Amino acid sequence: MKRFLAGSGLLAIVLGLLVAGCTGYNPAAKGPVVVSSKIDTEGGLLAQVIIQMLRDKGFQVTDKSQLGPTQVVRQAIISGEIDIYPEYTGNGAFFFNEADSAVWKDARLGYERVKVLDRQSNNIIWLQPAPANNTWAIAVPKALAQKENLKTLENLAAYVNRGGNIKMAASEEFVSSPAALPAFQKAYGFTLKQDQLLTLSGGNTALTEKAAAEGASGVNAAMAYGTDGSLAALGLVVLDDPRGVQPVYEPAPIVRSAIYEKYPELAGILNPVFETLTLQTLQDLNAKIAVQGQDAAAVARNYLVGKGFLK
Amino acid sequence: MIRLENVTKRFGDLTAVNDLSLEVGKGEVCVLIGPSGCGKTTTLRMINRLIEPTSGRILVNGQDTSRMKPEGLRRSIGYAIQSVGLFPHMTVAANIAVVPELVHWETHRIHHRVEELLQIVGLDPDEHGPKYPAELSGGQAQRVGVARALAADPPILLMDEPFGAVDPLNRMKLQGQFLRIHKELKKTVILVTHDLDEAIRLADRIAIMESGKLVQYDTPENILARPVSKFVHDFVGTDRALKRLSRIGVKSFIKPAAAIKTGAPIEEANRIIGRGRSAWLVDDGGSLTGWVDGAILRHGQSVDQAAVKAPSADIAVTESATLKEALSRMLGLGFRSLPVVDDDGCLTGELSLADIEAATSDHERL
Amino acid sequence: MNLRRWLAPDNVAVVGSIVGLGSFLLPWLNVKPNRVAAGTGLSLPDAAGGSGAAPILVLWLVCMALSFTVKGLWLRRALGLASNLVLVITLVLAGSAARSLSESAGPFSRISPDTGFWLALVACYLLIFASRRAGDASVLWRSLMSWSGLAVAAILLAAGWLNSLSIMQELAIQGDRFRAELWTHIILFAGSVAAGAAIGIPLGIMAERTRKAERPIFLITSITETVPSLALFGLLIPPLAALSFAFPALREVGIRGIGATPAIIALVIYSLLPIVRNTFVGLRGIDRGVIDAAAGIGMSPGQLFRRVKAPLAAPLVMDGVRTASVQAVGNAAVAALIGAGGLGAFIFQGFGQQAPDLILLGALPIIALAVLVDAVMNALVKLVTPRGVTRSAP
Repeated sequence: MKRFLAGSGLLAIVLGLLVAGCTGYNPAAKGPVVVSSKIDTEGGLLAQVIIQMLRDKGFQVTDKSQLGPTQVVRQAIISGEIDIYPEYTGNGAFFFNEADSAVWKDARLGYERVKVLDRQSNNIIWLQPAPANNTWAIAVPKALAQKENLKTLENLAAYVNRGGNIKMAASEEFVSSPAALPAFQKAYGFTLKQDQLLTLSGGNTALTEKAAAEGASGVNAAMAYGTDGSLAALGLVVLDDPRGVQPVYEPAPIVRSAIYEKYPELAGILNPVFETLTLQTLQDLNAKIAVQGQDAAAVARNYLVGKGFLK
Repeated sequence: MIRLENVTKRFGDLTAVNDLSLEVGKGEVCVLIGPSGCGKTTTLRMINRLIEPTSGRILVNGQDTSRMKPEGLRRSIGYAIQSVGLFPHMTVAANIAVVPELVHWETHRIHHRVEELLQIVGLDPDEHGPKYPAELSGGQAQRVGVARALAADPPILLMDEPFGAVDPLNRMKLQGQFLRIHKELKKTVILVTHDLDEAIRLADRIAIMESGKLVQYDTPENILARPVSKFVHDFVGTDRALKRLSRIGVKSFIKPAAAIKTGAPIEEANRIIGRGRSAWLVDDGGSLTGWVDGAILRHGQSVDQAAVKAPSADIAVTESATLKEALSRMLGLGFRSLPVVDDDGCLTGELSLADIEAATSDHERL
Repeated sequence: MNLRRWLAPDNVAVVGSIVGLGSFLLPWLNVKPNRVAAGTGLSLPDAAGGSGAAPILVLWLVCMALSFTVKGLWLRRALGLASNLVLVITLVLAGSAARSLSESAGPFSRISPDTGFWLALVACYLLIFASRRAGDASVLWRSLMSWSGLAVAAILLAAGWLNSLSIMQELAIQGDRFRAELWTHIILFAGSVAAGAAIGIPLGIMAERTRKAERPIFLITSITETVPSLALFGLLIPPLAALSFAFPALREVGIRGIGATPAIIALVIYSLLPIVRNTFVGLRGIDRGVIDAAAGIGMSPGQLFRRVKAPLAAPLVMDGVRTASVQAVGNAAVAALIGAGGLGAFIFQGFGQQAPDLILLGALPIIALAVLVDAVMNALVKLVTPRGVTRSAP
């Protein structure tokens, strides 16, 4: 009886794991390389760009895009579960606990710093970033901007300080992280009181933007990212940051060094592509996916073909 | 046939059975009885090794049971328990067929045997065979349990309060059926009960147990007449004389009875009744329908006027009744004599109170 | 007029009719200029025109009338047919209205069902339930009342009649990905329940058999049940990652720290409690007299188990597997957050992009799967219940 129990238990575990691991294993092609991304529109787009470029160059690629939130994806690459995913240069401040450093406000300095740190600590190689600053911003509905003449954050500060009606939807992180809202407030000299904030626990700009656009719960301002595709479609405008408060967040493909050492041609394949991804380009592509509802892979493919990277 | 030699069973600190030695002859009915916790059920379950003795030997047909495979031993011993334990997911027929199948009888033989057994316990095979236990009444289920115990024709039968879960009326019927079956099949039976009347009615010998020890092991008559200790004396109760009467059948004391047919001419009636107080009234077929009052008849009226109509079920006992039932009926009716009828209700004789008194005192003297 | 004699209201049907009539007044279809903008709600008459709305209104009124006099077989059948008819007509109208609206609203417009539509579905369900409640001797009529509406709905779906609705458009975009995630979801829950049964049933048998094993087994399974699924998934990642690094051979087979492996392990752990508990109760619940008799008449322990214990415990054991299965269908949705895929992926993506249709694309199939699995497992339970044994409540 005991033998039967032990045997069946073992069988069950083995069966379970086999089912779990049914990936296609093709020894003929280069790779396999596992490409991943976080669960968001831009991540999905960039992942598809990487996947299609690599496949075109003869790599066998496993698509694990839209894997999970930042922590899960980061943990996955560090432990070697995935090989490449697009990460933002500015996030180096959080990964390495250097939020106060001014280096992150400069695109090149920030990139160089995170490149060095990640290589040293985690054996992760940062390839060339796209020249698009997908940083934190504050957006307001066009109507409000026109009415109160809000173009920059300086205008906003003045508006708030003279008692203008403001309620901003933002994530917990945005509200409390010293690099985010507190930094804006400090630099431009305004403070939002508790009842002027609607705080959400997840960092979801789609939600905050939708709230501001619809005026839900009296919200008329939203935390946004620079390259969000929905901004134009929702009738929101991003307020300029002339004092350069925010760290720079440029997306770049990051690769496990073991894979990079095996396939150094990755840099040559991906760098030229990422170079073409400007802020405007990313906004347009994101809009195609989020607003028009096109498939990320199709949008990526059309773009790459249009630019001549793919036939 | 079955011999227990110095059998002891301990559960931790508790000694349930203490140095028990007992022998049951072939074809005998041995009833184990005693107060709760006396060890009677434990003893029973040691015979078929549902419980293993701590020390001592049990021999069945001269063979030490501890040397046999338990399953083999149990398949050669019938086992019927109070809760019956019929398998609810099998039909009655399938339930009975279990042991024969376990010992690999061929299908045809099993089928035949199932029918036979159902008839023996008084159930119609075609009607009850395909039923499921949930569709049976308590008494029917108990009978199927006995049938299942007897299925493979084992020489020995172990029964643990087999009639316990039924109402008193059905219980009497089942006991009667048991006696009938036993007369026919002559199995060696060990039966556990807490009902002394049942023990007295069914046993060839009774084993009285107290706190794990065997106190007296003798025929019911001897136990009632000569209790060996104060415990046994108190156990059997102060109505020993009455209890003995349940061992004696009416048949032993039946006497011919005067019977007058309804509508008989008054002279004939007077002749039959003579100076007697009463005579029994029968119809043309001989069935008992009441009695005739002698005093009223002698005053010259017709038979009809002197007749008192009463259903035989109210005033008579059947031939298979015990003296105890007869006495009880007599006391209830206030009669000094009782008519005895057969299964069809025909008058076969009568029984008098004087006869019963004689029976009681006769045995007292032995 | 002897109104009293005819009045026999069925409460559920009345509620259903009220909900149905209410749904008629609420917004029925929502037209959005693009995927993320807010849309405007259109009522049924506005969306489908008077000729479309009229039959629906009439049918709701008929249902309302029938709800008050549902005594009698034919009146019940009429109610059942009427409610199925409403369902079918609603879907037909939704499909055609969506198509014509999308043609006039712009290339990126999205047409989705609004509150009124969903309430209408709820009302149909209530009415069908009410008409079926009292039973019907005829199998034909029972099937008609339960399934005719759904059958037509399935045909409409398959024929692409509803393709202009936003959720179907999302499905069209996702295409193969949907099929892949659906399949992944099925493997996740089916595989984990199968493994859970293979481990849990023997554990339950062990717990019932030995007193010493009972407490630790139940302690462990109860504790794991209280851990929230995402937490359990997260807890499993580091040890599994370490394991797969230490033994690279495992990685070749696909055992990694994220993905299906921790998900399946967690799902298996969750399915253990209902299975272990039901196996235990199923065995313990067998009448002790039956087991004593079986042993006493000479069955060996193996025969006793095979012929008596197993068949008698089977219905409860299978019911435990049923509970575990339905539970696993839902729990597997969370697996998407750790990279295991499954239908939950659409839910989280939809949430991230604020696209409710994507959320529905994940959630609706999960609900349908759960209902289907429950029905199939219920049939299985009936199948293993031996004749002569009435199925008792667990």
